[in-house]
Amino acid sequence: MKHLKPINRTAERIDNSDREQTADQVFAMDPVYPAGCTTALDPGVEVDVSGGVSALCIPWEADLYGCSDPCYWPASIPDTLSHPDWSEGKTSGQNDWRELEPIYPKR
Amino acid sequence: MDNRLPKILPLTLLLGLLCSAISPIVATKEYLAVGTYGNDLHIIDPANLSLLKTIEIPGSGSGPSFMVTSPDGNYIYLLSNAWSSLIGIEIDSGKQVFRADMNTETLMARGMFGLAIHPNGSELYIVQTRTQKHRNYYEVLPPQVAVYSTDGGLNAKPIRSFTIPRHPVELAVSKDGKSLYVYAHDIHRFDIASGQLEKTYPVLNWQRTDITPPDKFNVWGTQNYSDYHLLFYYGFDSRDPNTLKFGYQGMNVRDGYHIARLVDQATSTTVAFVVNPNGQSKLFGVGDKIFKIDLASGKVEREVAGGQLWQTAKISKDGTRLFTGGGRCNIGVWSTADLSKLGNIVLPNCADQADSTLLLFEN
Repeated sequence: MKHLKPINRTAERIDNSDREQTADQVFAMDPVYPAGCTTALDPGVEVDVSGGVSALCIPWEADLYGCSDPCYWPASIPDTLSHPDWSEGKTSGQNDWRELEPIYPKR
Repeated sequence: MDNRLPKILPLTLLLGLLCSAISPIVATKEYLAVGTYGNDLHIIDPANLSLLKTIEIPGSGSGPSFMVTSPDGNYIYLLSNAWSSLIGIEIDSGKQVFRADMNTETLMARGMFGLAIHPNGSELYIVQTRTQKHRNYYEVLPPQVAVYSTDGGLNAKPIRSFTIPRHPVELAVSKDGKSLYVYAHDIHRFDIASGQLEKTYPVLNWQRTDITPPDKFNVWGTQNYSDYHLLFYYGFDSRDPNTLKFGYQGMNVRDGYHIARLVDQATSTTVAFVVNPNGQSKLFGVGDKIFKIDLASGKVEREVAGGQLWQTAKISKDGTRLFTGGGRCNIGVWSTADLSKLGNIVLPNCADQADSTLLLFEN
């Protein structure tokens, strides 16, 4: 990729990271909550910790808001840090879950 | 011999009797507290499971999450505003009497499960995970414990802070108020006054050969009457990677030692543990099931179906009743003797407790 030339400071920093041996300074947010929840890797509503289904929450709605707060199933459930209004007015997970809307990427 | 003594003595005795007659003997009473969606804090009488009052928590967000009470039971300190504000509520009046907003324009700071209070009620300790916002990138700052004075008012600022190891979650204060335990990948003991690291108790880095390095669910270990602050962990049998093992580990905060045990022959995992303060020999684990466990050996003595997922648990000071909460809108009451269910309360509007802790305290 030698033909690519950085044209701003961010690109320069990336380009120089190999030479300055600073590439290892990139690490995951700790834990993730201040800036978003894209690095939580725990399995969520589909499978339990052992990869099966026997230890899933009973009923699954019992863990719905516990895991959207702040961001425990980022692939399945909108996190309430990035989407604080997602469950607005729907205070009962077990009764109101049908009213929860999917989240779509903003254009 | 002084002839006045016989005359004074009966008078003082009379005054003493009179004072005791007109001064009511104030008995302490236990209360339950829990937060729900809609940003509400509910105070409940655990004796008859009746709702005493509902306090609306100022600010936005889904609801109060982690909470602790002052030693005198007059105040509850909780995290709200999407874990960016530490708020103190006077229980009797329902008024906000303490507030610390941790975010600034250029700094995002959140606390979640890491909140503790000094045994004398003078200071609050909170784990802050912080990210500095620069013009076009984020900079992850080291996590820290911020210390607040409980008389800091409605615009409280930290009175001191100290850096802690990465991946911190929960906190526990020693009974003598001198040490702060930070539950991270390992457990670290800090001197509360100076913030100096004194000792590390290996957990992720323990040298056990019977189990793979543990995954620690470092949440739901909350303020309780016992001397233990125990959390759930799990791993796989070193000889059989298909065999899941789980147990409890954490600190005895009175004597300052670490305990770790595997739960023997449990049929499902748990979310939270609490030790019975009466005798401190029995441990109760809650999840989809309720377990009664011998603390020293990890042997399951009794298990019952929980009827739903429970995420947090407390035991009454007399050790007879187990209260379970978290997940949905129910609070359950169980006998600690035989795990029979004694009762249940449905919270107003069936509002979800989400990740709110359940508090049981005396006032």
